[in-house]
Amino acid sequence: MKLCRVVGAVWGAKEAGSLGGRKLLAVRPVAVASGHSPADISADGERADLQDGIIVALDQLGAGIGEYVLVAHGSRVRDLTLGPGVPTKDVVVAIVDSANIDLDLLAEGGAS
Amino acid sequence: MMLGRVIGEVWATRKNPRIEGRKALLVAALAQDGDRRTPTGEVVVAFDSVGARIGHVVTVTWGSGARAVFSGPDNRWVLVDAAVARIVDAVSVERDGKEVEERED
Amino acid sequence: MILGRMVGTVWATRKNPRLENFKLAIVRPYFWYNPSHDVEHVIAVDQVGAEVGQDVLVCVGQPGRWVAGDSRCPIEASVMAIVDSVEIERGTENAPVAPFALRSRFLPTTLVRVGDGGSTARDAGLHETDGGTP
Repeated sequence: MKLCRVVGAVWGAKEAGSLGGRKLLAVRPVAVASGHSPADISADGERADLQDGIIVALDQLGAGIGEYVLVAHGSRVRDLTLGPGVPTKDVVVAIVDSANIDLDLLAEGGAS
Repeated sequence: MMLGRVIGEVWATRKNPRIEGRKALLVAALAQDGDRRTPTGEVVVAFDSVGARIGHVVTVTWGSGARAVFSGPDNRWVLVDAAVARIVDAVSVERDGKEVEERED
Repeated sequence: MILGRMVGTVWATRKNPRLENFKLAIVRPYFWYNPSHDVEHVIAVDQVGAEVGQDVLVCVGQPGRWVAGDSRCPIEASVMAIVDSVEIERGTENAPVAPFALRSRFLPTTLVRVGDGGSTARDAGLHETDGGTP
């Protein structure tokens, strides 16, 4: 799974019927290792550093813009959450309350 | 399946009991172009089934192939991610339009 | 499996019911293989009891789902083991260039160098100073 921030929603008048009107979210992965992210990540806190690139993920949990979510990838994950035949492979499996990163552990080296 | 070179070994005592007794090897992926092999930069941890050691060139397999390496036909409950399936002794490559065997020394 | 360092934890109450009671670890990989997206971390379910700072082996894909014997968890990664040591032949620790934004100096905390740094490391083309020709 990836830790991502919801940056928008994707709407389309024309969409594959099998999407069934489920919500598509545009999310960006948190740049965990950039060294610029805060140690504590939550919707109320300082915005985390984000990687470039948007992942479009299907959401059944009701995440809002600015919230952090866990996105899982895979056809099997899709089958387990949405059912087969839904045209996406990225699914929101959790809305994050908070995440904590020990920034010291991201430093290079580590082996003497 | 992936071609790779064993570059290390991983030791762990606290682990999921379903992988007890398995030796984990670090394998650096190799891309083969004719008779040249170059590392791709990717590294995977795979379970050993053939006694491979650091320096060996091996093939790594995933999924049902990996489970088959460790068990018989009824292997649904074998918990294996990637497995070293074979130590490569010789690889057939095309040279001058003919297939020749290149031995690993 | 991939080798990485546990660098943090995620807490979530609103989630897929099959993730109930699962501890979620933030893992920074040392090495990567074929990730689904170009990211610098993986969130893995942890049932082995890893702690922040430890080197871990993470299983990705279907075997990662066989956590607690239930393959119906909609996850893509789980911690399979806490690493005691990683043995790499001396010389190889100028780690291979990883294609996904990992810098080569991020090395396992449990790294142990073995051997004489001879042909294996050179043949693997893994020295930064080499032209890279195997």
